[in-house]
Amino acid sequence: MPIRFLKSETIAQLLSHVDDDKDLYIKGSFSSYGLDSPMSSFESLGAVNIQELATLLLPSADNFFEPENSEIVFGAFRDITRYQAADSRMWAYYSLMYGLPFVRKRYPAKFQISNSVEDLTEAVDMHFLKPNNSRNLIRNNILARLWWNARVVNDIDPRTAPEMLRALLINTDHRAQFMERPTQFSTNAFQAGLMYSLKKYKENNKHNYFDAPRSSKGAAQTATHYNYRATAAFLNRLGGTVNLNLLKPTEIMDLISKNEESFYARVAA
Amino acid sequence: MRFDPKKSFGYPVLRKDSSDYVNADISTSIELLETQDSSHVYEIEYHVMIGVRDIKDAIRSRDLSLVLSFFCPKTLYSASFVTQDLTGRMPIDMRNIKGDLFIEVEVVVNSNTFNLRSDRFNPEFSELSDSCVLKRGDLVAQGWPEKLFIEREVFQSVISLFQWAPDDEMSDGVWKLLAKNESIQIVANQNQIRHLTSAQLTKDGRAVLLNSIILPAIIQLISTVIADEFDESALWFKVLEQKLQATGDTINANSDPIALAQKLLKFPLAALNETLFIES
Repeated sequence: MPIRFLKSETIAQLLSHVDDDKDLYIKGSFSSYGLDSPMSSFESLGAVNIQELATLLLPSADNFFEPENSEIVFGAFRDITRYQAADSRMWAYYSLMYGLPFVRKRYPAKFQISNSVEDLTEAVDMHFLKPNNSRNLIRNNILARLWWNARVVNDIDPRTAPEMLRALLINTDHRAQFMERPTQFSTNAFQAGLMYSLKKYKENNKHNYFDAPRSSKGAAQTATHYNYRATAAFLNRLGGTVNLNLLKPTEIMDLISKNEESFYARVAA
Repeated sequence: MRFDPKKSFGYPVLRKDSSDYVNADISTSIELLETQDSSHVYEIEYHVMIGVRDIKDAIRSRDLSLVLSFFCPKTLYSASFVTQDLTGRMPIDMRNIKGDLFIEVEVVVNSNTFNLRSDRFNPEFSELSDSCVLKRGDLVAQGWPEKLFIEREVFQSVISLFQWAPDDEMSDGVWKLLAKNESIQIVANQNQIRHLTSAQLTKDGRAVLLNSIILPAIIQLISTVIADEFDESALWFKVLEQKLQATGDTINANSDPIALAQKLLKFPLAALNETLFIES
């Protein structure tokens, strides 16, 4: 099935009619809304596997199934290009058509009939329609977020992708440290940082490396154990003087190891 | 690595607008070129000019390397090329890029240790006795960061930016221009839009549209840029800017919007000369 994009005008109209469509967002469906018509959307080259998309696992209070669902969305949109995946109009169409049950379970407080129109409009904008803001698209659109999670771990190595996804998504702050600092982590540092996380995850999937308390003085300075925030801070410092694209990720991992060793040497002293 | 000519590394780093070296400079040029082979693979052509012989010699001897790094924030795409050639071309798949593509050009220590020396060091570094020892990955020279803006629309005609937008409160025969961030909307009532979309289907109709709608719209947009009443992040501005750069033009306070708009649209009157003005 070719991929479909909502037209910009359709997105603008949807955003201005959230009040009229409130029931559809809270308990209904957009399947009969006419979003498939040429007036509302257009097709482009590429393919989407709708059957696979329909297998999304519905989140519960104690498990969002984010690694599993990232794999499902990536599989359903396996052939799209990064250019297409950066276009919020495509994600707007599929999120509205196929993502409503998922988003109601993922963000239940935001999709209540008692919520104000303003709050619901903000939630619709954030999780379905968000136009023209790549960072918010990757962070908040329900399907784009899942696809990009899988994209970045597959860029590193498709063979380790399933396990690296589980390490990346071990908590939202860990994901944010690596995925939401695009400029800082545009180098091999991103790859090395995630490979280091995978190494720790394989040692113990409840490793205290993933426990990184925040503090106003900076977690890296006050933590009693070495954690991913210390790694992120170290890579940030290192990238200020060293070209991390020249170094191989394995070389950078060695430097992270030395930084961890020196941390524990300081703690012991 | 962030470019900051004021930043001190504790040793001289050759950069534009930095005084770490005297009578020496680094400059770069980056161009995006179409290829014959593929519609989506382009080439980035780069030239790096380095005014310090010791650095150039060390690149030739592989003690130093040139590292070109690319990063697109919208698609999280990054790539880097390590080379000894100060001039070259490298392929880039445009399906990976959307919006801004940031390009960094750096000269970096490639060997495990490197003795940086030059008679061009600023005298402030006199304690280094004309040399200092650096380690692998350390920065030696840094070009001014470059940025390309890449949207499909940039490689298509300016006309592809235009969209018809219905507004049934408008009368027949009336239209207005609405410059959005992602598109340029021509607003008219549904009936008028039907006429306009029909006109697009014929060569004569396209020539008329080009002269009656597109040309005045582009003149108006250029005028808003001249008056500094526009949003620099707007797609239409970036497309116009890049199209004009390709012809060696820029929009400034002295620009003639009528002349620039005609140039951008490849002289629309010629389209009428070839269609409606042909003498039978």
